[in-house]
Amino acid sequence: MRSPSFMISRSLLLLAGLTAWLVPIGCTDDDMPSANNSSMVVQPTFNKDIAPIIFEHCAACHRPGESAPFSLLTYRDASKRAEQIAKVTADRYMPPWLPRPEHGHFRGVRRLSDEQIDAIGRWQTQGRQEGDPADLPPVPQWPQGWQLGQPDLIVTMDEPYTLPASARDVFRTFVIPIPIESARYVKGLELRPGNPRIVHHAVVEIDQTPSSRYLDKRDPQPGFDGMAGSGESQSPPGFLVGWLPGKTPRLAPPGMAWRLEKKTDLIVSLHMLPSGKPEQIQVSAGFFFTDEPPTRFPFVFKIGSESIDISPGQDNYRISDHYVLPVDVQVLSIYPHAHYLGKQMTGLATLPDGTKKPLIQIDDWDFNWQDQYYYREPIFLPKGTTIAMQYRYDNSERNLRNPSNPPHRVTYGPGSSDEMGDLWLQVLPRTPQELAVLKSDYARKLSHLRIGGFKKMLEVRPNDWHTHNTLALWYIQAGRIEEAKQHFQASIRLADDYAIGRYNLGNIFQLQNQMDKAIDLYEQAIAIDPGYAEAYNNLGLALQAQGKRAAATEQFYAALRARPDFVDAHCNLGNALTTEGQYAKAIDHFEQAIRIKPNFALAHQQLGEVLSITSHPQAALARFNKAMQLQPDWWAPYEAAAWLLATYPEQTTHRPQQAVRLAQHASKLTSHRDAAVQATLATAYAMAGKYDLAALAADEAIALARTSGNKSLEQKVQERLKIYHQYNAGRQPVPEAAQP
Amino acid sequence: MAGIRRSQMGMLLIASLATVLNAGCGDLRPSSRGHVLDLEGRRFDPLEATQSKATVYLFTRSDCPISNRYAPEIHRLHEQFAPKGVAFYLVYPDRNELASTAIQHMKEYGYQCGALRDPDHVLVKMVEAEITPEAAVFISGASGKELVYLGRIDDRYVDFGKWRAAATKHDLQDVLEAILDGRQVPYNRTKAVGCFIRDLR
Repeated sequence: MRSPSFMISRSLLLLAGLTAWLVPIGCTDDDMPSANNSSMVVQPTFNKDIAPIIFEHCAACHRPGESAPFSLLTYRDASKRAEQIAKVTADRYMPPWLPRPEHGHFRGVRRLSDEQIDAIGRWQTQGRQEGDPADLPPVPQWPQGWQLGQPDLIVTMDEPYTLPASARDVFRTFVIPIPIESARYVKGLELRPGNPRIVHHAVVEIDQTPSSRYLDKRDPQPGFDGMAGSGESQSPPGFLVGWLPGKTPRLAPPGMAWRLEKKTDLIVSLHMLPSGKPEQIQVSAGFFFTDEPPTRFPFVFKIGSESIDISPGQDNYRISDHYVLPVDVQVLSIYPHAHYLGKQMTGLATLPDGTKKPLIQIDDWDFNWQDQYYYREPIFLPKGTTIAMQYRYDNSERNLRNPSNPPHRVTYGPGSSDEMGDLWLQVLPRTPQELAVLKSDYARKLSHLRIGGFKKMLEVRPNDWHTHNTLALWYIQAGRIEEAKQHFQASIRLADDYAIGRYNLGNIFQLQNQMDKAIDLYEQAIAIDPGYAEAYNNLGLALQAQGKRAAATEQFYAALRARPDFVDAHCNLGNALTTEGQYAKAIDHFEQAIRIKPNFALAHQQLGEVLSITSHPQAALARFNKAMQLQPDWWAPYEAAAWLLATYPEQTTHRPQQAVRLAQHASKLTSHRDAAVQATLATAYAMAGKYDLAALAADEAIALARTSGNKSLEQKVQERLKIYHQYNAGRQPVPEAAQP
Repeated sequence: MAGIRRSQMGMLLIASLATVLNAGCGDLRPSSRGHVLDLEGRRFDPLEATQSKATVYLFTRSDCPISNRYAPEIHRLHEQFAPKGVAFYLVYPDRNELASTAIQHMKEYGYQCGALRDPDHVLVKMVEAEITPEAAVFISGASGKELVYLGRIDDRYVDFGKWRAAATKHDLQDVLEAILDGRQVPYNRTKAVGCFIRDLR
């Protein structure tokens, strides 16, 4: 029998905190401050103790219109979340700041002190008093709108994207064209998400190719899936650009603007957090330009692993990597990156003398709060310093953030259920020359990383011909031609209609001087894809190498029919026409190439060569100078200008002293290992009356020409050498007629 | 009245409003401490017996981000279970959230279920709700409603700032399915993650 008043639950409901429940229910008034409060000696109040903490550390985001989901500017705002604030600060979830103190001194540290956390906790438990209004500091003022001021150019997504209400996080990439008439130097780039409350973080890249646009067009909604642009998109040169709630955008330090080419797209990848209702988002970006060309060139590079392979259940998977700096650098900022399985990260520099400098340490990695950290003072690392990283991952069920349940095998990749393990560094080398050294040294390092990654991908998907092709390209980068060849061959074997693999294998044979095989493969590629402009172009080069000039010219024309704005084909055709003596037509194609790609140093250089042949020395010199300016580490324009200034008969252009300086520079850029450059240096010395030096350079040119099998050059220089010896004895200038 | 003290029973026994009225000292009477109201301001008796096989009270706040992110899941559960005889009510425990705020909030997030206000925390205290979002599930008995579950909707949120890509346990769904199948509910209490109702005064 049941009592009329009570019903026994058919399932027992255990009660927690029962005593606490019973006390307030009517016997005392829980709205009244407890009697204990009056006896407390120091009782924190909002106005005196809490507001200053919130204003400094929280309110940048927790204010109306900003990214945080609620505002904390007033007593009422904070009081109605007091326990929540106490909990998230005690857990150090808020304010979000991942790096451990004393492992790198960063700007904009948001971390609270233990005393501040304690004050918040006591305020909450001791009655959340408002306190004396006179104690309340003024609410800070933030700039309205753009944080860096009025941008010089604002770009916005064409149409808004609608984020569905769904429960899962959404990762999506948007393409925004940048309408500029000519290249500009960018000193600042500020992102405004438009609807900051749903954006958890953003990564900004640029794409000079149409490939991200292509991905965008294929997807009927604005943008396309994923947190990465096409493979062609990249960070602005020398910079990493991201957006995170509360992150203040920064202008580049003086002299460190980056060059934005025209016809570039801005690629904005957003990690969005649905709010529970459909939301519209339309991102804008503001560009801040300067007319000052950069004088300091930072470089970003990463160390890490692309061959991550974590089996399900593994809770302490480790990766490590290191890189030895080939030049001195200052480290400006650091950006650790992993996805949801990452748990712990270390970055450490070991100087040549053994001194250790911690770069960063994160003990509880949280993908959602990833950030790029700027050092307060750049960290100087001398040449020979080893930069090392070690990350740990948890792919067990105990990792609550694990995107897969039950866990599954996870390998490297950009998707949120793939993993990554990158430690990015932004560094500033001392000089452009040292930057060039760092870039080329790092290219080798990167190719090792990439090769490891693509090999791992092939382990998972051994029949993916595209991956075979990509791996082969990285083998080429690493100079491992035979391995490249094997993987191109595999890609062809796996796909009968894979034109790209045939084209690439053709290129290898061309490099190895096996022109018949190369020609065969290019023809196969063209048969599969008759619009394959690059294949026509390289077929032309192979035919040219076989001395089949007319057939080669025909292929360059075919390449341009397939793609009229193909600059390489314009230049190759220009060269072919130059050889045939059709200078006017050649000039026309070089000029077309320059119109399409104004910064193409090679086109300027080759146009200069034709102008030089057709007796326009001043115009030729202008082109050589332009080429030097565009590509200062390329020897060819120096050599060409040196030759012209040394040998041109007209008084206005005959400047042998300058020719010597230019030829010396070209010689230095080739590490004195190029026969033609040494020959030009010899000629310049001779024309300047320095016959002994001319003879030395000529000796070097002869030896180098002999090694590389260039008989005709060897012979020419031999003849000149005789004249140098003759005039060296007589101390007379070489008559122009004796020069070639 | 000591015999009715719930501490000694070790279980939650709420049979009807009358029970609560009789529990404890005289001023425990909900009438003296306020009422649960519907959005038109009428008194609502959350324990009144109805035809529904189960009633779900979902504590929520228009300004609680975790509550709001659950809107699609609440729609899903409502669509699945309402036709099978489960009544759903959102309960707004913030006394500063007026009926107009609640109506606007429901419109914004597309809620189709019923809604109540509990400005005096009558229902909050009755079931010991602590969090938004948190679900209290009652089944109807001969003389009123009986609380069988208090807790989270699912296990997607683990803590502030810690959430799974997708829930692995759908507690509220499991409870409702068990009730409809006539089985014992699999759990009576789970820990919800979200904003603290205690913070509202």
